[in-house]
Amino acid sequence: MAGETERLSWGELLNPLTMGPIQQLGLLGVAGLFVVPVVAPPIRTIQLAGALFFATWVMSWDFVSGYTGEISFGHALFFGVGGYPSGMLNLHLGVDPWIAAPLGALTAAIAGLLIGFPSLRVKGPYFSLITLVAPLIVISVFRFSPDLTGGELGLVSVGRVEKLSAIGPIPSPGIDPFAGYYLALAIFLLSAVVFIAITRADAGVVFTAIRADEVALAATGKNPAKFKLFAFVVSALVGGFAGAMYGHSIGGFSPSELLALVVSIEVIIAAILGGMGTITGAAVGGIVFHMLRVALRNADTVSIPFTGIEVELVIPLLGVPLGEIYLLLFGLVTLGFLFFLPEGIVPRAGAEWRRRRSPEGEAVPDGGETAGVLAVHAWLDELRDLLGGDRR
Amino acid sequence: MVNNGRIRCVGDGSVRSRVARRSFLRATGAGATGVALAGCLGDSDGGDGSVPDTITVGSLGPSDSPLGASIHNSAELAVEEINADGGIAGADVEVSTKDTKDQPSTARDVYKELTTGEDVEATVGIFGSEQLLAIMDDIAQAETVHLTSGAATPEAPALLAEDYEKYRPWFRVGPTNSTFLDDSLVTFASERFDAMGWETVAFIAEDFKWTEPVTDGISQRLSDEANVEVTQVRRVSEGTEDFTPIFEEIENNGVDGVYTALAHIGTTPLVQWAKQQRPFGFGGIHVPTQLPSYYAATEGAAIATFSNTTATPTSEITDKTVPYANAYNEAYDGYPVYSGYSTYDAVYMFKNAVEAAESVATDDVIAELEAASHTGTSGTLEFYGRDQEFPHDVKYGPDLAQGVYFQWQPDEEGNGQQRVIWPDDLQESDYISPPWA
Repeated sequence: MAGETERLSWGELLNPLTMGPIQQLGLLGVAGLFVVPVVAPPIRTIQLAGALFFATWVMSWDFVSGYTGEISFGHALFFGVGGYPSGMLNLHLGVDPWIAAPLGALTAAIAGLLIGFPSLRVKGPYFSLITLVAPLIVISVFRFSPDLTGGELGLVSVGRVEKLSAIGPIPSPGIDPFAGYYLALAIFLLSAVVFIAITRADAGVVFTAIRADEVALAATGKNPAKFKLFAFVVSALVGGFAGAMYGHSIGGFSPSELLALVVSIEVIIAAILGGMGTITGAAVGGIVFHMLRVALRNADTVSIPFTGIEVELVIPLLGVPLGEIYLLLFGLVTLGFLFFLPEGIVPRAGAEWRRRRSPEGEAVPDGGETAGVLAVHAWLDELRDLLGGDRR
Repeated sequence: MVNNGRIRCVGDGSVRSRVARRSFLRATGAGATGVALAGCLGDSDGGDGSVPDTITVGSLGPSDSPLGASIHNSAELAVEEINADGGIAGADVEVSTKDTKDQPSTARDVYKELTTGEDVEATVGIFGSEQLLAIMDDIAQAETVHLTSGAATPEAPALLAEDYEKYRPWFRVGPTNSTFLDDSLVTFASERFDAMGWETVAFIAEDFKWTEPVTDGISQRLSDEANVEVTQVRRVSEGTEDFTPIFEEIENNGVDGVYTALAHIGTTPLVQWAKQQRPFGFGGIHVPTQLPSYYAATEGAAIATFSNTTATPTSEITDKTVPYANAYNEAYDGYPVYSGYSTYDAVYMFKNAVEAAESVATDDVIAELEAASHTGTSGTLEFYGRDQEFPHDVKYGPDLAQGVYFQWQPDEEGNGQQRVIWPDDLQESDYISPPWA
């Protein structure tokens, strides 16, 4: 298909009027993000800034796992390995956060290289196990050197980490909520552009090919190892940078936010809900997941409109408030998605839109399944191989 | 429209509290942007000194832990009493409780929800020094009075000493600053160790921020001021799961007791000490053993362990202590932990300050709190002044707040009871050795 399309100029590519309706909707969403601080209650602005950082992490996971099919169960490692060195450089050596954060991102990129290497030899579920164990090792090491890392409670128990300072007329993003929000938005958009540009270019085709058949790809003269390492390094670099900037925005680095297994799992869940292997789905999934989690945390009661009746949101029999078990709820919803809507919300909505506009539809070579669904299938195939089950 | 700080306005299609927006704009420090964005600025606001119809107090603590539950329950108990008695300067009082999950990050998020989101007039609580330090900058930014009632770090008042103007909304009602903990430990040792038969001790502290001022110099002070030989001062890291080698070494050194500074990781060494029936005593500062349900929860392993604490349900530190503990027990079917006493006192101190100032404006309340002397459940509560070493921290001393030491002792039915063993005027019982020692 690529051969049939003539090459468009940048101006034509980026002209909103000639874009497809889905791209226009995306642009509208981005425009919406720009005006949020003006129209939403202040607390939502602060919360949404957190959501943008989280969405950046989800995209960084999707970039490597959603495309190449090397499922990472411990992506929080990169957020922590980006964040912590930056925080520690500031705390122990007094390096300015604006300089420390890029250095932290570089450390994360090196970690990406180190984690990427095993993926050249170890496949599928075995590789996933490596990614699962790596952050646990880092947390254990942290717990035994609390003087440097603060252990389980994070750097705040060692000393005060500086927030990002003001630059000229721009107030400090660590103190001014508006500046903090727009910094988060800038990092989110920049990451989205980088990820989308790479995955929509030839490299994206190679990533997808790695997932489909590495041997066949090697036979075409492409080196899968090089591309896999590239994907890991870029993903870690961006995720690590977001981790460092997040820490310096709020003035703290703790395992529960940057390293814990639960963060890695949340990132995967958000990507599955939004749509794996699409980047845009991961972005939407990340923002929605974070905001829903915040809403659930505070959902003690819900009032039924016009009746004045307040219903307490407590799980029957257990007597547990809804907010306490958000991860369980998201886990169940994710299971449902994997069974009934494996491609995620965004790709399904896009497909639905196209189907309604041209009901006849076009034949698609891959059976209409998205990159994410294919990644899950490939991973399951490998798992079956390992366990000796039947192939599909 | 009522000029009470709770005026609602429609500026941009949504309805919300004007004060919430104002505190947000104040936080941004960007007046010019604020005017462009706010849509409904212009006349009066809640910072003009009046008392609104409803006053909301935010309560912060880890809801799943007894330390956090005591904070939330005590804030609610105090507010119920205050409302039954006419409110604060005629205003109804509400409590908004937030679970910090014992995590600095969550503490930060929910603190912002209380201040920027709900625009509470004051916040109380917070357990854990790390959680408190995580929100200090936000307290400064929100300019909302905060009364700490569950974290002992000296670094919070150190921030005020450094920059009083910025951090001035912060106060601590309890527990006393952890730099006083070594004073307390040395005083207890010099007044009781002789009778307890503790001549040689080992000191164990968990490797957390709050124990640093305790372990610095404790060995020298115990030897100089209490005439006690200290064989070792050991800081134990959070990941330690087996204390057998440590206890082995201590036993070989022939010590009479292990003097402790343990909070987060206190249970593992205590249970292993009891199971292994080590021939030495165990106690000092031990936060888990302060829990009224701890004896039952450890199936009696806590026997003969002792700790300092703010108050126990039976200690008549003031004439408010026991009635509060009983009212708490009646309402929540169990007794509070130290953070409960201080939270209850914190709410009352805020009430008194607002009534004296006839205002909820932050600086008016701060001025009243700085001058306050309040007889609470945990002692006579006053705050150090801005020019002193620990600005806005609760004053420590025999006639002020100094806490008690209690020991778990079996009663006739074999249940554990927390009995006060220090100071003299509140003492209920003498120290007893562990049954196997």
